[in-house]
Amino acid sequence: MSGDFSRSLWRENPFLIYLVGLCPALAVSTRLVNALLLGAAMLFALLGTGIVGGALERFLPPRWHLPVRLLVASALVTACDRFLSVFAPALHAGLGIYLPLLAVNCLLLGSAGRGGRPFGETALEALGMGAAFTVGLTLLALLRELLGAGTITLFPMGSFRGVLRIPGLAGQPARLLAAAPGALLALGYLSALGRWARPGRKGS
Amino acid sequence: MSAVGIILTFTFVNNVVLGQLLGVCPILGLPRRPALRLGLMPAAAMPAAALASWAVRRLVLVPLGLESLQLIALCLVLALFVLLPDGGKAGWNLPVTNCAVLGVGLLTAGSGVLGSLVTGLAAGAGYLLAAVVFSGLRERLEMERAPRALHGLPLYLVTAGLMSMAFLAFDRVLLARLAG
Repeated sequence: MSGDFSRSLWRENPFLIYLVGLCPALAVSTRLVNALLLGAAMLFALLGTGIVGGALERFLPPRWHLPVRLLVASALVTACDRFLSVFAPALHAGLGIYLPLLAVNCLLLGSAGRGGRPFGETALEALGMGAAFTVGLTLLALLRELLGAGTITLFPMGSFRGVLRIPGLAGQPARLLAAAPGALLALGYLSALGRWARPGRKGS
Repeated sequence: MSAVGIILTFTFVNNVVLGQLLGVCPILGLPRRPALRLGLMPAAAMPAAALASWAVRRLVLVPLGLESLQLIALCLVLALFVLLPDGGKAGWNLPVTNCAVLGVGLLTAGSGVLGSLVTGLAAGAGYLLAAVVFSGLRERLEMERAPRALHGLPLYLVTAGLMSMAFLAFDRVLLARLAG
């Protein structure tokens, strides 16, 4: 079981290797803090949707599976959205419409029709996928922010305003990486790197 | 913003797929042949989602003071649509669970009925444009030799990135001049 976990985290990272669940993630990967927040929201939504949706699926005919997942996911994502807008309005504004968009994410809806399994299995799978999504997105955001803006943005704490400027990079950033094309290019090369470095399955 | 401004913005300057990065995964996974047909469904769903979003907001959410539940209401509309009878063609209504469709519904929050409709149409046209051009590029990519690690999806992503870079050339000033 823990083998499953580490496999989905790196060797078969759904985000980096199979490139699913991209839509909300690409656009906000300009700052590290966005990636961490979106990752946390995704983890929460995956766990909740997996458990609640999976439990409901036992009682419903197959054609209801996807709509029910969609509704459960939208309720959980709304909860995340409200929570963040109350406790961290500035960070919430940085995510814009891309946090609510998690509700139709393929990672969340892709598990429709796979309900009725043991609780532990569902939870572990959700944790693995959520962690993999967060790790992949964090790598992408780190790359884009470091090279595209020369900064690293974390949570503001006390007198620390949350932005680290990297000397040497902050002066002349490669702004393309911070713009929309940069997200696609950076993820493309990151994913190629992930495939190249994957132990065992070099070919195919 | 004027109607022409909205159309130029959502179709070219800030193309739904290439500028706002909505609906990237369905475009990357598009099979080669019926790109137009498969792109048409989400593209047509966008103005519908924009109108539905306006109607739900105006008729239900605002009178009840529940604007914060907009996402759940929109997903309910999408879920009802997925539940429509499929008339023998299994899965024809699944493409509406697409981030670009929901994204358009969310982006038009605050516009009037006409603004929503025009935004939806322009975003749909932008999606269709990106889908058709990308599937053409993809067809050419099949014939190219590429390093193993890049083969397939990474190569598609880099190609989409280059395409998005090309769309950076559609700058609002340029288009304003073209439109006179």
